Amino acid sequence: MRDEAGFRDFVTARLAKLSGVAYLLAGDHHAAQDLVQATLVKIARHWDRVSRVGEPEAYVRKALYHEFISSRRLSRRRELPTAQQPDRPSARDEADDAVRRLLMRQALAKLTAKQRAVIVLRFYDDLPEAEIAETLGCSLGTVKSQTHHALRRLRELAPELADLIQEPQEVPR
Amino acid sequence: MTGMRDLLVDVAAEARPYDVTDQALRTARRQRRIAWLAPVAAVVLATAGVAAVLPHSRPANSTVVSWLPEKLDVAESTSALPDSRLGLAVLAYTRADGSTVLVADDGGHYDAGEGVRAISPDGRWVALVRDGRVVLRDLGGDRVVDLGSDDDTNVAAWSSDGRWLAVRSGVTNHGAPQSVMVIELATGRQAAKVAAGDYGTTVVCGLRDSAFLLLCSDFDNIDEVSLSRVNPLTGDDLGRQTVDLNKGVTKSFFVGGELMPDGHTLAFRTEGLEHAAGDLLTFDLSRPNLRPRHHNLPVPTRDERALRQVQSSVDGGVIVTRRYGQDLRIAAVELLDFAGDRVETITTVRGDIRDIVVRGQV
Repeated sequence: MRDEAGFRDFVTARLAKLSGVAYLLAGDHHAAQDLVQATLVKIARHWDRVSRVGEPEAYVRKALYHEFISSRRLSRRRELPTAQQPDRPSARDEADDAVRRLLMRQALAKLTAKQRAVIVLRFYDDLPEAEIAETLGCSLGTVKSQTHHALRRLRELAPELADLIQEPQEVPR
Repeated sequence: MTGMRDLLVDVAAEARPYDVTDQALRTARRQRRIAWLAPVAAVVLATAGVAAVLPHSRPANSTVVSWLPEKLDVAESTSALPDSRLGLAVLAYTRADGSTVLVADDGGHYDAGEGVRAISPDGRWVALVRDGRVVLRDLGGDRVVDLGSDDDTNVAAWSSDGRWLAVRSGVTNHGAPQSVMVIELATGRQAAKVAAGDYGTTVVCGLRDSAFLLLCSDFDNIDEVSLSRVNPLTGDDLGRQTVDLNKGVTKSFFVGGELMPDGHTLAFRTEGLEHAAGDLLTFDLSRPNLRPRHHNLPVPTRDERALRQVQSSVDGGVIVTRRYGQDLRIAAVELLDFAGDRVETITTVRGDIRDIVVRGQV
């Protein structure tokens, strides 16, 4: 790599965001760290060209989400469905931020990889649907339907958060 | 949706800073080095259903790989590699404990010490690592030729006539001018040392006897790879061509290339920007228009984590290994026949083998 310093600077400036997205997608620290590392390896291998052709942010985003979806595809058969839903926290705890975070994390973990990616891209990265479609390499219609199904599933999985989980209104930019 | 976004931000805030930059750079460097060592040693994950996979049977065109055994069992014990005449090497494999074993055509399994970097197409020559140095060992005699430190020496290409070997050694700084030594195998002498572009952008893709050294350069344009032919004995420029990797297909990057034994088919390994799967492309250099032909390896479906890896090229195809499991151990050595894009099992592996080097592989 010709510009290793440039790569390091780029990663350092975006590490917090990258780590946050990886954690949202992967659901635990170990898997998130693996996801970040696999993504950085891919970026490092192509850094000279990626930095030259411009828009490294978009490339990194694509690499991260594609790495996540393909890694979930590989490990899908190893994941055994849980026989029982975990106990829900009591009503009194539901007001607690930590519990809401836990509920959201557990609910996200039960979405398909693509649904999870759509939710994080739409509501955390705040991307319009067209850019989500571009990032994931799918059609606008797929993004819309995946978003709709993902939100409905989240509401089922975490009814305590239903007031937060609503269909978005696409605002033209 | 502010509430939803705020909640996701709160969850994301639980993340630690996963600063794995150093590990990622080390891995990327190692992968780059592997690309140098084995230009077509590619992990190829491809669309299922394009190529047919036949059940285990010796393929009709198995003559090109008749030197490979039908079964390979991991040896429980090995013999010391004798200094005297041994015969011909068939392959070398790395066991789970990291030890490397050389298999000869007499069926013997020999301790290959620190590793095997390459085996000549005829099996007579083996590039071994000894005391951190790459040495060329003549199994048909007792000649040993020191090629250089294992850190910065790569066996780059064998000539198909079995007379010459191209070795890149020296600088490993990206962009630094590099040179290639051309070794005459019969004498072990360095016949020439020729300029070979810049490290990191140019790789040796083949050595067509003493006719030309083929260099593949991957510059600024991500779609094109420049091919230059150089006289291996004088360094004279013999002409240039350019190939476009992405005619009508998804964007992909050049990762490595290998001139096949016929001397005019060039096989490229590429890697996609937006997908994990790479493509194996071939170009016929004897034709005026260099149009890529795509070859796909099916993803093995029986195992939950499996892939195929290209090891070396033979007449009309490539030798691949099928790997499986968390540690991606090798289950079989196969042949992808370009004529029909069929994958056929050649050697069934029994035991825990993590890596393999076959004849012609560098």
